[in-house]
Amino acid sequence: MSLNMDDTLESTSAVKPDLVTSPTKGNVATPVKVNPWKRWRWRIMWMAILILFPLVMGGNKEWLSVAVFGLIASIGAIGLNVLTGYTGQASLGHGFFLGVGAYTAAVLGGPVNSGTELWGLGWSFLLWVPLAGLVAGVIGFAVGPLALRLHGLYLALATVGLVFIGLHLFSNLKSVTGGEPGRQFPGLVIGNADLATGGSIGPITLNRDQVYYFVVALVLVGVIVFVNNVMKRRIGRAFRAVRDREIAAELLGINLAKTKVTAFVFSSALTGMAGALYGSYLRYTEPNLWNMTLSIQYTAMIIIGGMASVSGAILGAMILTALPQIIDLTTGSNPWQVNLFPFVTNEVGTHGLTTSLFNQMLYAMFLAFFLLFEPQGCMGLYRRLVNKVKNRSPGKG
Amino acid sequence: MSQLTPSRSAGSSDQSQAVATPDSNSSLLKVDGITLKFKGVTALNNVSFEVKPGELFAVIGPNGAGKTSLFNVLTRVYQPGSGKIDFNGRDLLTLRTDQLSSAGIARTFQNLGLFPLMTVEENLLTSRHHLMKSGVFSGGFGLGTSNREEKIHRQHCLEIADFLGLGPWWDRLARDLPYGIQKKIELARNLVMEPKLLLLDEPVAGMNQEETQEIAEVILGIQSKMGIAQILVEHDMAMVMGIADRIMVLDFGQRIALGEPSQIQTDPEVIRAYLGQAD
Amino acid sequence: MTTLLQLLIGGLALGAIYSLIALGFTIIFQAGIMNFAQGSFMLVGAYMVSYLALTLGWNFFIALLMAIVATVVIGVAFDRYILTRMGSRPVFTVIMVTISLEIFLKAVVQAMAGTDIRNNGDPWGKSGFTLGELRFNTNDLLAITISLVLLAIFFAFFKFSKQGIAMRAVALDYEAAAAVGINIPKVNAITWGISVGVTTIAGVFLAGFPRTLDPAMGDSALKALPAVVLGGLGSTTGAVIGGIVIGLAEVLVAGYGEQVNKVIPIGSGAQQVAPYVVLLIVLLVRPHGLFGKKGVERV
Repeated sequence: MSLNMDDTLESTSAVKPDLVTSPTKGNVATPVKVNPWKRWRWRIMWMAILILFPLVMGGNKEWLSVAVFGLIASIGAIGLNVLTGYTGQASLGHGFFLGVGAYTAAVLGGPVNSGTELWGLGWSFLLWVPLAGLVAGVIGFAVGPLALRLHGLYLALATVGLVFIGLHLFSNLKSVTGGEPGRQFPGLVIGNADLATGGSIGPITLNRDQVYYFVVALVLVGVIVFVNNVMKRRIGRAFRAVRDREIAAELLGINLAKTKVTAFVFSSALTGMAGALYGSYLRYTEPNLWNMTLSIQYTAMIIIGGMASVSGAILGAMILTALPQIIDLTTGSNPWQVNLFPFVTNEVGTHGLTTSLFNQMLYAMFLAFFLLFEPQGCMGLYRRLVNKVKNRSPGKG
Repeated sequence: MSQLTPSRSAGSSDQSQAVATPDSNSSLLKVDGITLKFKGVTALNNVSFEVKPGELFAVIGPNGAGKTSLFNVLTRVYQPGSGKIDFNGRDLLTLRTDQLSSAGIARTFQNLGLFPLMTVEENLLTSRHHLMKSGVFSGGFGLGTSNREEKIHRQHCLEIADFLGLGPWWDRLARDLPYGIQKKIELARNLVMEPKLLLLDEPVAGMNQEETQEIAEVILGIQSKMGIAQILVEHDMAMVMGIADRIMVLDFGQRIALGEPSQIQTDPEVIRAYLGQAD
Repeated sequence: MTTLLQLLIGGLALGAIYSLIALGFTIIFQAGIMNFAQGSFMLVGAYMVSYLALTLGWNFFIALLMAIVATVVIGVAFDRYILTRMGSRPVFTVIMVTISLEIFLKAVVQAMAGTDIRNNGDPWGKSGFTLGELRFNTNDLLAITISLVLLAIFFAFFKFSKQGIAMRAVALDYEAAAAVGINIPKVNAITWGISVGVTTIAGVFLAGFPRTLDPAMGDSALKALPAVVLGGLGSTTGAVIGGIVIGLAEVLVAGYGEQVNKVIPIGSGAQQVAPYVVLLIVLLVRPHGLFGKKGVERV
């Protein structure tokens, strides 16, 4: 993925390249709209890449599944960005809401008579995706008071507590989660048809990964449009106002409690949908998946990608999801069997610096790098680049 | 500038209340015996005053006299120990801070209350929050109601931005702009709220004479063209004396004088407490 | 009754260790930083001791000393070269930086030591004695004793020594402390040194009998977080009391969990989660901890 996503997906963040008003033009405040084609050009390009990628990569199972996981993580990261990036509420408890979404999907979509103690209603994924969002949103509403009462550090600590309480519930609510051994998650079923077994539309035959890819991509595009719309409008401004200056925001008539709880519910709902899709694509998981490590990963995604930016969340999600695959590729799992990092061992079951540990280290270093040098993440780097280019060519002003 | 007459053109029904006409008989704000204490320190001691609709009322006093405390009481940040505040017929002390904008009170901050990562446009539009209605769903799905609402309110913000000469900066991030412009944005943001009473906390602090002159003209313009009552807390004596209708002097949380500028200038108590020592 | 006494001994020992960990968090918090990497310092220290004492056959106490030196160097360097350079940043940013250190150090430890379960290399191992029906493990008794000694030393240092007073001054008012000529980098270094040193010792005890050493041990540091908050962030006395309460609670709930489960369905493993439930309740009732002070927001 290149960094050039700003124009397509982003319109509420700091830089607005399309609306140009020259400070020298005098007092006419009407913004001059630049040719709308410019905006659509990028959108169409990204759409084309989004659609063509799985078709071209159809046979490459590894990269296709990285893409699917990346798209799912994007939805979750956008959800976290609504809370942390836009509204400024620190959270280390994202994994909990992913879990809530996944288990809602498991119960709603699971087999009715599985012969086990596991609950299942056998509903279609068209129902369990939005309902997972709804249930996670309701849970978000229930824990919303935390966000009201607590600030900064205290909120972060409370969300850590939430993760551990969630883990306890997940491993003990056996009829929902299967307990410690875990449980199966439903596929993409409508009626009697399971889309995820693959199928063909006209001349194109799609495998499981491709089907998931398109379903998830569709949800993601919906989420992008929705979140961008919200952030451009009344509630989105209230989120950011609360983040920047609480008392000033209150004086403008923004109810802090209502706004924070709204952000919490909105964020949880998006995350719940991501969790539902995540569980479904994984097929099977143990309750311990929804732990601190997962939560921290999502926080790292929005820091690395870019706070308060939809494109940033997607970028961060893609980078962190693709990182293990890129490491595999560069440490020998390539056609030439070349290991670019000789100090990393790619043999399975060995001690020493394995690829997964190397992944951890790189991920920690990325995180630290952006925190230290560019708190606005990749989007911040991109904006700097754009400004530099702009300043060099005065014609573009 | 006729379009600048405050009109709750969108999302609001009380058109009649908006145009404030100065009326010497009724007061807009009536502060009655306010006392505020912090751990033994009395910040405000039995302070009373009234502000009439459309009046330009100034509060002066040496550092620590309780001026900012007074603003924090009026904006419901601090709860006074005793006393009553009536604003436009309502008991102000029953309102929450976030209900003040609907009631008609706006405030600027000494150290700027702008949202630094928002554009001028977004800063101004945020001030219309209490007049707008759209929520997460109508906004997220881009429904017609929310789009119309945004458009109407943006138009109003543009007018205020033009009034203050902020048009050229419309799309710029607030944090990227010079201090003087930021001060104006904050002023604009408060005007956009269509308040009946505007609280100005040291609007010209840190400004040079030219900039001060400019802001003074804007303040007078707000009074004459929009009819908004203002309470001004300021250290710049020349400016206060030049533009205020009436002045209240605070010292150690106590009201030591209240009257027109000419009276204040000659008040021996004031000269002793303030003028003689500060200037 | 015997069961209860036996559990109380184990609980006190674990509580003493949690007290040390909580104290480690609290000391650094007084320098304004919530350090989520404490667990990885525990891990680095304990693994180093294990490696030096078991693999290389060094004397355990020299190994312990070396481990303390090593972790303190890492901690002080991290503070000096990364945190100090960041300047004043939002609390959450600092938390995330310490988390990135945690992830990094954990990966380093695993790369060097593997994921096998190890012993911590202490000479007392599983030894202990029986008094009546009660079993006393040497590791437990030492943990309690050493913790008490360390706490006493720490409080004396904090209260009476020049550096301790400087630490308190910096914690109270950073700018005023700088204004009266306190060498803040030095004080910060001492703060980190003490905190990380105490944490390393806690880590070695935590890896002792009846427990063992594995990479997951680092996560145990997070169990001390509720103790830190219960006591009110920055309160050292609170951290010590909180730590003991949580150690006792963990062992008692583990011991009686099954009986309780018949009455109230708290589920298995409730001892792990009980402190966090208490944490959330405390935060909801008193958003700044039991002894914490509310900061006044300037307007």
